[in-house]
Amino acid sequence: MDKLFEWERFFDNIPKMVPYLSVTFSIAIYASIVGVILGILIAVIRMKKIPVLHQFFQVYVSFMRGTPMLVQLMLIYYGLPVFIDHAFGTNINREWSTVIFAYITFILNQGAFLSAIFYSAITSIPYGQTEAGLSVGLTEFQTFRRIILPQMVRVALPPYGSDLVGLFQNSSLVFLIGVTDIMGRAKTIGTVTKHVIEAYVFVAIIFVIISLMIRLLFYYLNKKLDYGRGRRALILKEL
Amino acid sequence: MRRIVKQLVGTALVLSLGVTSLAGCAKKSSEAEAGAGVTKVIVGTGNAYEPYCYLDEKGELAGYEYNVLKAVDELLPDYEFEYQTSDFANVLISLDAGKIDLAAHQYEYNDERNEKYLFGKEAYTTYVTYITVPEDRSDITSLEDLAGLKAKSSTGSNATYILEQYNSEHEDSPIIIDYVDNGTDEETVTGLVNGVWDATISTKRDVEKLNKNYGDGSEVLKTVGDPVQSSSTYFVFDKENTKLQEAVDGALKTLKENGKLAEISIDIIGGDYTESE
Repeated sequence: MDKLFEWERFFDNIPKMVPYLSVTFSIAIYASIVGVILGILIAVIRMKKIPVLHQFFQVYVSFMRGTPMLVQLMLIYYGLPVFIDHAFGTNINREWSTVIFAYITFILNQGAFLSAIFYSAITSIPYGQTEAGLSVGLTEFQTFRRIILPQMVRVALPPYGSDLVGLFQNSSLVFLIGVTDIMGRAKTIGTVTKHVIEAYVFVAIIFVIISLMIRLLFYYLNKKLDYGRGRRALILKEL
Repeated sequence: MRRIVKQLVGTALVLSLGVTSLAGCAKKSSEAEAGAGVTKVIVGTGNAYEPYCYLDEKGELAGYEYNVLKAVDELLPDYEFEYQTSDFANVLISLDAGKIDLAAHQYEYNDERNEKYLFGKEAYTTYVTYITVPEDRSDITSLEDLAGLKAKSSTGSNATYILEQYNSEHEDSPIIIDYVDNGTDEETVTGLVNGVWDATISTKRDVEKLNKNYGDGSEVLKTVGDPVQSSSTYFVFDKENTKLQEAVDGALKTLKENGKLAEISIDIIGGDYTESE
């Protein structure tokens, strides 16, 4: 057999694979932006204990957090159109492209994970602060916007960062339903060139870089939102 | 002022995302309407079975299935084919779910599949499968010899069906089936040579292909014994869709008669595998 790994093939693959990063990124971006909105919505519903919706989302979040991503992907890709087409007489089963189902799956999944992160971040702020805000005449929204939100962002940031790293890795599953992302491209290159290891190694490197970049970004965000807390802790330690 | 700008930017961002995704859908539906009179057929095929269905250097669908279907499409002015690729195990599931109208992935006829799907009547490739083992093994020549040994197969394939049938008839000495989905040729060869699996089931031409690609001049794998099954491959349709099946069969018949099918086979697979081996 040929050598399992050759640098020449490795470098040949790079220009063929890099364009497919856009698929991976578009999934991550859609899932992050819409997922944050969904996450906030679910967190608020759970905070306010809105009947029916509250119970519904509790089941929803536990389902999304407790089942494998691949199962969710299959359920959305094959199952969702059955319900929607049946209920609304549409034909999304055939008219929507595969990648839209991938977006939907990742948005729904991120929404569930982020809602749990936001929920715990909000509850980490003592309720006394809300009471204090309300007692000086701020409305509920103003209290949230001016007192709770700035503090909860700081709490939610680290888990959000690690969630984002996970999101990128999970996105590599979409090839199974036929969306060619960077992982899928690695596989197809493997089929054409008969050598797949180089492509896998490149995918691994790409994911390491993405994860490092996200960690770096969140490290700086964290520092920026620290409002001098770290320094105070340092002074206390020195004392 | 800064706040207003911020809000505007935010709204614009959300709107643009929404519009692009909606535009994606809208484009699709208008395409469907434009071809009124011409029925759109979604063909489901695989993405990692070279040279039958795979994505080429540029990431576009290529291979025998695609070329045959393209020729079929040219003969059928009432139909317009559109291609959708996925993992092998998901092609027939997509047919179940109504996402595709025609499944093309070197599907051999078997009873289990026939119960669920409509097979085309015109075969477009022969498919004679053998037990395949590493070159240096001489202890295996039949399915009986595989009892207690490990055979590589993938979910939903005809090889799996054959192995499972064998096991249900020989419950006391079954073959250990290792289900490997979404694997690559390289994994198959390496696994067999390293002894991860004792055997697999494949066609002579696939083994020749593997030897050529990974043998480095010599033969690393060989087929042994009599054929496990001699069958042909057919396009697979939804049970209800006899109209499309008849149309495609008609076109295939024409392609066989005018020699075009054999031409495609020689051109892409490297031999005429359309009639017999």
